[in-house]
Amino acid sequence: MIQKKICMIGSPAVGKTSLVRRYVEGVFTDEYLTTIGVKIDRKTLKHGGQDVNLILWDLAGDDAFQPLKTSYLRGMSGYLLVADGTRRSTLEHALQLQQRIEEAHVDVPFVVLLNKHDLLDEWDIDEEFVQALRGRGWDIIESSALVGFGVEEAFAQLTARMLTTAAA
Amino acid sequence: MDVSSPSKSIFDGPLMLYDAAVLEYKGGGQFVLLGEAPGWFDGYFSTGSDDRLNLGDHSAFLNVFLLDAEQHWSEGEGRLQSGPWTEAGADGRAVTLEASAMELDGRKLLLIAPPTLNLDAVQQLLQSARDEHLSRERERKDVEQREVLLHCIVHDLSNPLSGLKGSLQLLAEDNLVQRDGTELLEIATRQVDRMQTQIRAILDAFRADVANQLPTAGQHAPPDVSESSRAVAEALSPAARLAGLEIVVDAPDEPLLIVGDRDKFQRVLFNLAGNALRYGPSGTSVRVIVQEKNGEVEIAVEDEGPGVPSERIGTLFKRFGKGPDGQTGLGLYFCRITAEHWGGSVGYSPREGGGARFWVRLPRRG
Repeated sequence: MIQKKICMIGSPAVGKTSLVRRYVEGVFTDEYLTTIGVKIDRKTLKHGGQDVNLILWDLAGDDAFQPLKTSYLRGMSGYLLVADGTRRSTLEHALQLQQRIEEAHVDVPFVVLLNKHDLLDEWDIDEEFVQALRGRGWDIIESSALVGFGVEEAFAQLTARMLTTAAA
Repeated sequence: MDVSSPSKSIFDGPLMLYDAAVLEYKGGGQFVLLGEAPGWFDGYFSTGSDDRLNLGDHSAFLNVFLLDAEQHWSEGEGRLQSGPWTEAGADGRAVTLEASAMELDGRKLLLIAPPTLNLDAVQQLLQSARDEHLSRERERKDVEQREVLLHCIVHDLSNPLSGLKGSLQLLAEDNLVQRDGTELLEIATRQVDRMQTQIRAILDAFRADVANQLPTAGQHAPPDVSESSRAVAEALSPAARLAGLEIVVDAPDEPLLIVGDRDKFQRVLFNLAGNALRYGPSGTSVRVIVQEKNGEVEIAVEDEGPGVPSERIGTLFKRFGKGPDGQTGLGLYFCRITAEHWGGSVGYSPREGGGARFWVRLPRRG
């Protein structure tokens, strides 16, 4: 079976753990517990008729207290760059993280998730900025771990990109 | 697991108190357990009768950490610590562990144990620091939104003012007959009244928030869409004339009552028609079209301006969303929450033949 390691990367409290729980267990808990270190989960999905075993590395949110350990990225086939759509600063931070990953010579596919789409009235993301990122060829998906919106799509899209990259 | 290492006794005793497993690296990814296996070990690694274990096969985390560990054993000093990780073992139970790689008398050792620090305490500490950071960020955002609100208020006040100014400017023109002048003065007076009402509403909004301005159904007289559309068009007509535009109402003659209240409904119309006047080019018309459709009344406001760029359509009706010209505002947000509160909806679509078409659909009353 094909195995792919996916890392969940982003600022603290953007919903990385909730997205994984929604995807793997199909549940959402409205309780924020900051992740310490890394949590690893697995999920098998079918893509193009073949089973793909995803190993999901839910990394602690990057900040001054727990900076991203680039050693955790070793062997990663792709990553989800998660931002909180109600906090513009988390998208700016996600861009910095993407740059750090690129500088660490990790050139793998990624998908940007603008999470917490259920809080549309508090949405704080500039649509033109998002369009500009899309113009750079970035995949950007709006998601909500709370209602399950965009979650399956994000993992499926990243898987497709990882497999395409591997085949190229 | 059956272990027959001659050195096993060294690693029994104190380390067992920490629930730690001590393994020696034998090369080729293979490890041998020294001493007794802690309680969690067999379930996690699914050990059989084989003395040798390939830890990387059992744990995705160790698979990565051992690459660093191998480098550390060959050139490093002291201890290399992994930090905590949580992963389900072979028995399916998720366990949080930490690993340390070290060299002792030329032997490459790996120590795996539950975290020595109280993870709950660390988590609480981190969480309170992050909560504080989040709350500062929220405060900053609130201040920012208050500033935007202030801009919106100024914008809201400028709409009736421009009507007033338009009326007075037209009055000042020499060729006006007396009857027209009286009519325009009446319009100007109504606009001043409206401004006073709005200032009161704005003061209320400052005390709380724009969401608190939600209309309360049933408190006031229900609006007659036809009459309200004509009243708004009349109030805006001086501003329209000054801009070289015509404002046309296409509504049934008979009353068309909807759920809601008259003042709030007229404010919705002022927002939509005011926007249309701003974007409609001189020499064209702004049309207010009222139609009944399947128990609902649709009020559409059309202009022949540039329309809304596609990248802005998604955020038009959001709170502090950007309007057609990229200006942040609350006008369209107010239209949406008002319509939704009355069980209706709002939307935008490009006008056939060019321009913008904003619509509101509201349930018909009785």
